[in-house]
Amino acid sequence: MSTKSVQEVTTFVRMPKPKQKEFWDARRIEHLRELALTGKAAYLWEDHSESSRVLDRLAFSDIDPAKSNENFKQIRNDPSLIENIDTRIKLAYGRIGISAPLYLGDMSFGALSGIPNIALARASDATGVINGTGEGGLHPDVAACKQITVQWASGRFGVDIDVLKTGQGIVIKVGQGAKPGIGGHLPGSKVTGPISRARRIPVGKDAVSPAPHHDIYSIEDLGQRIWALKEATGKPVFVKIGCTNYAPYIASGVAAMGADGIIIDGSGAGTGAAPSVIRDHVGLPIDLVVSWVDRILTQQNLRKGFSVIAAGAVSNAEDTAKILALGADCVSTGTATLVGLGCLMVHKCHIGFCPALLTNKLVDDPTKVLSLDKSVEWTSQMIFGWIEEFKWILRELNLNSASELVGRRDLLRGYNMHEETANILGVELDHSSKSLVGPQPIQKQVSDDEYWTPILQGELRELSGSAGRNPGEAVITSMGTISAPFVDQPRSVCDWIRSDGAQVTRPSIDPYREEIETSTYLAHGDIRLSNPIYLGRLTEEGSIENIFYEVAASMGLLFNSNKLLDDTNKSMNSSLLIPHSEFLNKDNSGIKCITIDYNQIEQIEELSKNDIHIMVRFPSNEKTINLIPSVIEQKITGIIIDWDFENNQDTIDLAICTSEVDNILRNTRINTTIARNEINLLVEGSRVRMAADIFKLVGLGADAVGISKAALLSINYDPKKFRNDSNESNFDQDKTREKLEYTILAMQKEIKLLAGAAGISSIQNSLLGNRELFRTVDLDPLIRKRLGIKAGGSP
Amino acid sequence: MTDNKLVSKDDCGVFAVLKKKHSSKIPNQIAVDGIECVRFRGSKFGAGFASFNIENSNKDFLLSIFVENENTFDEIKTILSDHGFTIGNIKSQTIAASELSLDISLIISTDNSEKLSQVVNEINYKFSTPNYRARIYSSGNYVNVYKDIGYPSDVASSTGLITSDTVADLWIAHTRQPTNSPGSSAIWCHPFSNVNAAIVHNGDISSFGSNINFLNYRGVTNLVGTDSEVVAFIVDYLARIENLSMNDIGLILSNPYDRFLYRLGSDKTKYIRDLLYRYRGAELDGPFTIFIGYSDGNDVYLLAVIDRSKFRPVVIGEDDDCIYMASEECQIRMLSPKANIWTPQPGRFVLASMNQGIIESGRDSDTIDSISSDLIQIENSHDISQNIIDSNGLSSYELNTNIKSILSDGPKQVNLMNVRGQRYLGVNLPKDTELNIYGTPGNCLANFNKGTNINVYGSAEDNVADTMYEGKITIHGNTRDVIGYALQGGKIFIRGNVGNRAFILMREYEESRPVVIVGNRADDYFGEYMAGGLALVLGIDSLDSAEPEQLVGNFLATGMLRGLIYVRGKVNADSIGLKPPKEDIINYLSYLNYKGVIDTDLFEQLSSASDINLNFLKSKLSDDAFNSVKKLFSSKYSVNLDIEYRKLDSSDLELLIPYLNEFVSDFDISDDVLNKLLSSEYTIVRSIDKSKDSKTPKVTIVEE
Repeated sequence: MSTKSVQEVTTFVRMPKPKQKEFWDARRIEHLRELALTGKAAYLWEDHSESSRVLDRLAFSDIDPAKSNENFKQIRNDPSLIENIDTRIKLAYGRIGISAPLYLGDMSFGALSGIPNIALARASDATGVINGTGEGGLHPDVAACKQITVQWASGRFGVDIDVLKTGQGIVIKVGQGAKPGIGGHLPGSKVTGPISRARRIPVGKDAVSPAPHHDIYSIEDLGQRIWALKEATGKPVFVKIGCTNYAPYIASGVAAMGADGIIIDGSGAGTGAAPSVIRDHVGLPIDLVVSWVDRILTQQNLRKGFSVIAAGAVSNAEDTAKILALGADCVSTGTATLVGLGCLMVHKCHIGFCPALLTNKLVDDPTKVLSLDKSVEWTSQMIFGWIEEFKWILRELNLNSASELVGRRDLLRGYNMHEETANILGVELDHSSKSLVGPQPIQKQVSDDEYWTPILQGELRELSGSAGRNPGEAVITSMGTISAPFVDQPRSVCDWIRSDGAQVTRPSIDPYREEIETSTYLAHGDIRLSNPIYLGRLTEEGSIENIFYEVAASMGLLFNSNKLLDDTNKSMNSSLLIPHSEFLNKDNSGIKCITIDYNQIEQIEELSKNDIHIMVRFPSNEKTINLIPSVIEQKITGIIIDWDFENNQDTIDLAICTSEVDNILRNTRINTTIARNEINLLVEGSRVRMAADIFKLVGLGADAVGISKAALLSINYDPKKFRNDSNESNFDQDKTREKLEYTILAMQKEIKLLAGAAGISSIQNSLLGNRELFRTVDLDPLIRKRLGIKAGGSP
Repeated sequence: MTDNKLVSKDDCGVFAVLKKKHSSKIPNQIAVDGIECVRFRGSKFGAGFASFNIENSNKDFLLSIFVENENTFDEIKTILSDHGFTIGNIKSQTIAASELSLDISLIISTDNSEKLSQVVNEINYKFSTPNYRARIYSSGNYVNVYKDIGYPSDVASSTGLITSDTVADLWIAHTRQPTNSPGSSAIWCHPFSNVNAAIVHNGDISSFGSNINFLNYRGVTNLVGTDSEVVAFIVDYLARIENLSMNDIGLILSNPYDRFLYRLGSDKTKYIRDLLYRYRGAELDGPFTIFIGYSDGNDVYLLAVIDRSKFRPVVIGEDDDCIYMASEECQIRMLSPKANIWTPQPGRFVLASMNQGIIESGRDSDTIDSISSDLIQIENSHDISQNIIDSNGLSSYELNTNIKSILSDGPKQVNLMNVRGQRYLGVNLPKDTELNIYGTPGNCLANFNKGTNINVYGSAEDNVADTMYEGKITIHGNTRDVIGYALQGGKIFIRGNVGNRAFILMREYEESRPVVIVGNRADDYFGEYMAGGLALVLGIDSLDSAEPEQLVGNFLATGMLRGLIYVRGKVNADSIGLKPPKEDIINYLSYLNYKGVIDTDLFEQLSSASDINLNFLKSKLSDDAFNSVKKLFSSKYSVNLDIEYRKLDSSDLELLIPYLNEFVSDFDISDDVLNKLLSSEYTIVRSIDKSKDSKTPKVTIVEE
């Protein structure tokens, strides 16, 4: 034990000004802090007028939130009004009783620094709710508590038969909302002595849990694990999944397999470390899905006694009430409890630097620790305050108990949402306006400045190593949520599209240790790309062109160049696409592939006499969709849709154009062969931002996706430096080329992460045109149908 | 598009049995017993069977139809007549399914099977929206499908199969565990069939959206919307319309890893790549074991396709009369105790036909014999007169209850006879007890074990010794996949083979260090994520082989952090860990060549090497060139492995001899074999990382 003095922290750190729009904004944080400090109800309804989350566009039909808040202020000091309201519920077929429908979610000893783990467990004992202890073994002081569950996760860290017998129940963690299809991840920097002992792993090494449980690749495998755990311990078993495409079906499978409950963790949930490409693009929000979970379980006679615990950005009693009305028995909240302990959303959990001392690195001799007594007090008071607000809400709804609210979708009304979405939620749509209810995100063309947000640019630089971190690696982030369309404004159609995370019915695949094939063949196998990526056309000239040329060659890609850069280098030229006018009479230059604009196709006949692949360039607009059938009969290898080509007010979103053209090619035959088999589809432009866009566009039918502006941003492109005529002495061309190579490698990793999360092991064979992997979130049904994607949350 | 159609996700148990040319037809009871044996893999939500008989008429097609009522059936008959088809015999009965409860079979005699198939498609389309009113679920002339809601034995009764004395050349069977789809409707049950293809599937197809595209745009638009069903239609399309061989269909569906194709030589590689490119969208992804029955009228084929990671269980068996395919070994052992049983390698397919027997075994040829084993029945080999439980007919729960009840009365040992797939044995037993198991224990044997010794006289199945801390397990036969997952202590000795992902996440901590010895060989992902302990693969059965097969599959020690692996004989470096595709590396080297960083001779030398790994590149390239190409290999989670190939030295011997002595004594192996093992060469794999943390930290008190 250290003898030096340890400072105990007993106050909250002041909130910094946020750099971006956050779900956990100052209002939500201040509210929970108030509960933690007072233990009393603060107000009932949040102001959602700025929030576009689906849940925030729901309101109880008989209640006007603003008036109700006013009324609450008048009567809040009379506790007799709520004393007969019963918030107690039973979980697991009545085997576990808790004082309110609140489960403090599954944060591990390791992700949290010990004191918060103990605080949550002790506060659960004090308040009668329940605390999931997460993966990675139990802190001895947590193990001494009663109201806890223990977790069985894919890494098996810190569990043995004795740990499994501790607490009220066992949670089999299949997935989590912030990263469905990705395993738990404790960075090595946080694996210090105490954590090493709890998890029985070496100090300083990343503790990475496999993406799937390698004994659970299917629902019957899950059943086997449930019964093995029951055979060994006799305890109730819950299954926790990330909320993805098939969540309602999985819930019914989980119930049929004999589990006692399911914890469904929606997107927007917190995490100690997750690749941002997963957090921001995989999984569905819980509010969209829980209604069908309830309905399918009921239809199949599996609902009674089985517990549905809903998680993912549950921030207060109001959210609790709405989610129960949508069909859950109980909510789970993790981030909110951390906010009640002082979390201020600096998103640095994965680094182990936490100003609130919640997720910092746990060392044997710290100089500063969070006060344990204060922490237990804050958490207990926050829970008491939360329960009190929940009681007032039940009173407003004329209900006497929490269980009466479960599944009361008839009490809710949807505002500012598509009818399709209201049907999915099982609520009626109300076209009147209601104060404090959030707006519907709309599709609009945004300016370049608004499109390339500072966060996005920062992430792109991180891929290449320009931002100083690990070059060539996926960007890692932690806590909170900023994703469009729930929090941020969607900027392109892709932002409404969420990708699947494999949960239970098939294993996700860990791209760091297992093979995911990204190689893509074009032109009947004549051209091989290492990735479904190519370098799109540049408007810039100068040495940047040479860099693109070389990277296309070194990384096994194509570069859609404006010109032939070096007609002697035959081998490297096989990675070039050049305009047909540049090609004429240079058929000895090694060029395999040329482009021709759609309005010059009469020249194809003549050009096709050369042994050359011809790709026809089209702009991304409705006219293109109409013109495609007329070029199919030509001797062409591919079609390129370029967002920047003839860009004007008629230009439409690349996602729509890609999907429509893919459909036409699939529906048309050339002689007896399907046109799509003969013709490749390439999609490019300065609106392709990142790996997730590439992944989604391939899923909508593109063989490969070209990046241009994203590549320039990732390498910090500065036109002054890159001009051929400028003084290049201070410009290291090799270093810039390396950066771009790293960008490609990092994007490859991110694409693999998305594929692996969805349980896809081959991009070209399994992702191409596989729209079943995607779901939309309250997207305009007209656009949704053009994409051929199902609406998220629908069965 | 498939908008608003329910997608069913099925997981299940599967079974198939094919007669050999000379043997007699297989009675229905065999199919029922083979699948009923694993009824616990399925549910009351459905089961089914398909029989194939080759000498059926080549023009009498049997249409099997689920239909809501007689009126709708009359509509269907009218459509068939309108298209000029003559309707023959009709058999009608009521099945258990609550929707479409009428199950009707009728014979259509025609020479125009192409047209019949189109009309079937039309009828199915017409009666599928907005709700299903009827569904033709089988339409071939060599195949007959029986399916309904219920467990296999229920379905055999409700469909009249069991009372029909039906015999067949081939049976495939299924018990269903829907993740979800309407449990009340039989149209979602397996087998799925189109013309003369029928399939049963266990798993979940993640390429479903692409496969649906493949079919939709080829005119097959009318599917009930399950991932399993598309496979039946794809097989029929490829075989009947595209005239592909079953061999090519096996290749396409099983979708082998591109990175390993080069091992087959350039001609075969090109052939397979062309095939896969041409039928893009027909390849399957995600976990699956699929048994496919098909007949072209000349022969009857049984094809098993297995996903590239072998995520679903499958075993193949063969005896003098039949070829068997099943989810679990106990299914085959029950029917044929002495059958030769093996498990295919990941991503391979198994093809057999009635006339030709096994055509493609799913394993590299000479590993077959060594992977099979007779059921070991050493019932009288030692004193087991006391504490015997006859497991015959007992459920897992009953058997475990009996075991615990005996142990709670004081004895330290229990002997289980006739074990047939019962699960969770040896889970949570008192310390220092012993369990002897005769037969085939089911999945999850010895999970969480903390001090029980377990001896299996036979083969064990999946997921043995998950998160075991203490105790010892000896297995006299083989085990299947995922043995010793997160094994943290104790010993596991296996005389035979282990399947996929053996000893993944095995780890050591302080004094607790697991030791595992595999007597023969292992498949893919051996020691993946390994973080401690000692693992040996000995290859005893190929000790005297002149050209020994590599004893482990691909992806050995991927993500390994700590510990030690010894594999007898040479392991191709390409089978160890995960590397970028060879083409990507060669491509980069080619770029360096054009930049003049490496010369053409060196480039050609490097790119023609059989394995281009980091150590090899480092030894050949200048620092600049190496640092440049290295980025293709880099990942912040990858750990460099130290790989040696050599004879055992004195420190190896000091470490290994005590365990090897124990191993040979447990399995009664001769000294001669032991001496050969000690003098062999081994591939020795360990993590290069030897930083401070490879030691266990000192225990200090957590500061609060």
